Amino acid sequence: MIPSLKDNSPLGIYLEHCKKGELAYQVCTDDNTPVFYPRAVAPGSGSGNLEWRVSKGLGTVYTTTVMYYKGEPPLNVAMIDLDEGFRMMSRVEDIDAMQVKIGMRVKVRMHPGDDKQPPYPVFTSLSPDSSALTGRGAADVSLLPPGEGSGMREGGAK
Amino acid sequence: MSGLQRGSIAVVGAAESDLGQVAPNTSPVDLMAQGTMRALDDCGLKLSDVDALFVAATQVRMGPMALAEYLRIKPKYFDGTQIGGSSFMSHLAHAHAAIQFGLCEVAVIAYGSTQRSVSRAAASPREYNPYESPYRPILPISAYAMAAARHMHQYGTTREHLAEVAVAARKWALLNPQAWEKEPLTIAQALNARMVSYPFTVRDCCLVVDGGGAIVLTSAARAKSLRKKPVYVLGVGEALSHANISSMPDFTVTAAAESGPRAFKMAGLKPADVNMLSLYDAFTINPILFLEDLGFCPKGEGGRFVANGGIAPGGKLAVNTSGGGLSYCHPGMYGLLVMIEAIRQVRGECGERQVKGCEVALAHGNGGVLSSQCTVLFGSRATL
Repeated sequence: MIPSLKDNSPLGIYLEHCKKGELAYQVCTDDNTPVFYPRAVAPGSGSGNLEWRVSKGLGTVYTTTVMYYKGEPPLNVAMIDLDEGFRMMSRVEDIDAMQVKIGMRVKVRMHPGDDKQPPYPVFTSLSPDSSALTGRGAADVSLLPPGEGSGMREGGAK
Repeated sequence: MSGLQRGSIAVVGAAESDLGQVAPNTSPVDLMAQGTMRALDDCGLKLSDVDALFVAATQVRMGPMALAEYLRIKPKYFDGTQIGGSSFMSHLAHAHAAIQFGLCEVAVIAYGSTQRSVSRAAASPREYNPYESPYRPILPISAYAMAAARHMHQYGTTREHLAEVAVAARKWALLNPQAWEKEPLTIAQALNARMVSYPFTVRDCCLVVDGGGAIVLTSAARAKSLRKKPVYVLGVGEALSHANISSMPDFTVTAAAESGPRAFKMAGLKPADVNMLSLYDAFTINPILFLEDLGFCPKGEGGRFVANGGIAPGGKLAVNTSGGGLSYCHPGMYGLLVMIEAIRQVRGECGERQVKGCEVALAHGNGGVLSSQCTVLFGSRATL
């Protein structure tokens, strides 16, 4: 059966979980495939048999970047592969943005958000010594010029 | 006969609009119209001959209507497919079908952008995504940066390899009078430029300039009687893999691995038959990924392929001879200009940067965040 969207939306339910400090995802019960982002029907099959689950919140950094916004400290964005088998965008907090490495084990924590932004999941590193995880993509922080802006080239747009 | 027939349509006119920085209050449709009339002049057709319009732009929501109104023409066939920078390759594939099956005779594909004049934020506002926007990715840059970081981790690609792509583009640009960038660039300069989204410095990112252009297509039969040597469409292939970077299945493999084989199959060609490539280089990782996915080197070897001037003038493969989106022109969506360079190479019009004996050129478009991939193979009369 195709679920109704009159009373609940996929994002609405997801955000309710976030408010409770939970990272929620869906599983298609036809074949046990994890689904993220939340949807009204399962991708691939179109099945309406989607069940909500709460993730244990453990995952691995799939890839990462460090952004240099003008007048701000370097900011991490990463793709996290959750152990339940889905991937999401997030960031790893509490360590230097350049020390977030591919393959690093991480655990979810709910960012409280603010007036405009509802709570959203971020991650913290579980690796006691992140310097042990030097992937080939490891950065040499000393090579970096001071961060001073964003946007693409020459355009002056943020 | 089912499907598209290789060589049944041809590009007969091709022109850039003014590029770089245009006058204040120029509109994107001004640039489309300018490009359209230059492209018609290029082949000797008149505006009244045009019966099909294909338009996509970030600043004009309903492109075919806007351009038809401006030019006061009434096309009987039109398409406003918007899949980002590769929209124009997609338009060409759809125009191929429409012309081949008699739905129209003369098709114009046009584009215009004033993103340098009005700012990128104004020209290409982004949709809010509740699963991405809270993390403030600098899009599209950070998406491509994460693809590059994964490629580096998985295959040993280095920042120097990325810089090689920027330097090769600059060397080609210095041979193109139309190119925005006029000064040489070294690997060290590229590496030490301002960091934007690691591993990308500004030199890993495309230009933000105004520009546009148009191409004119018609049947191979009609093409013979026109002013310029026809450039035949030998193969087209389109593919989509995702819309948002979070949903890209494997950050090191693009849907060019699907669009490329489709185009080669239709053309009856293989990568070794291609004399020149025009690859959508919004970022330095793009040509590396596309060389792999289109079959010009094994997966993971793209970085080493471009090393030591591999795709620079005099290198082992002529790639982005215009100077590319990195050093020639990147007006928001760059796919139309990607094709124009390939068309001019097959015509033999490229002056100092002309690839000798260029009979087959590949133009590859990319859109979104490595989301849409469209490949076109152009050929001279000798390839029919």
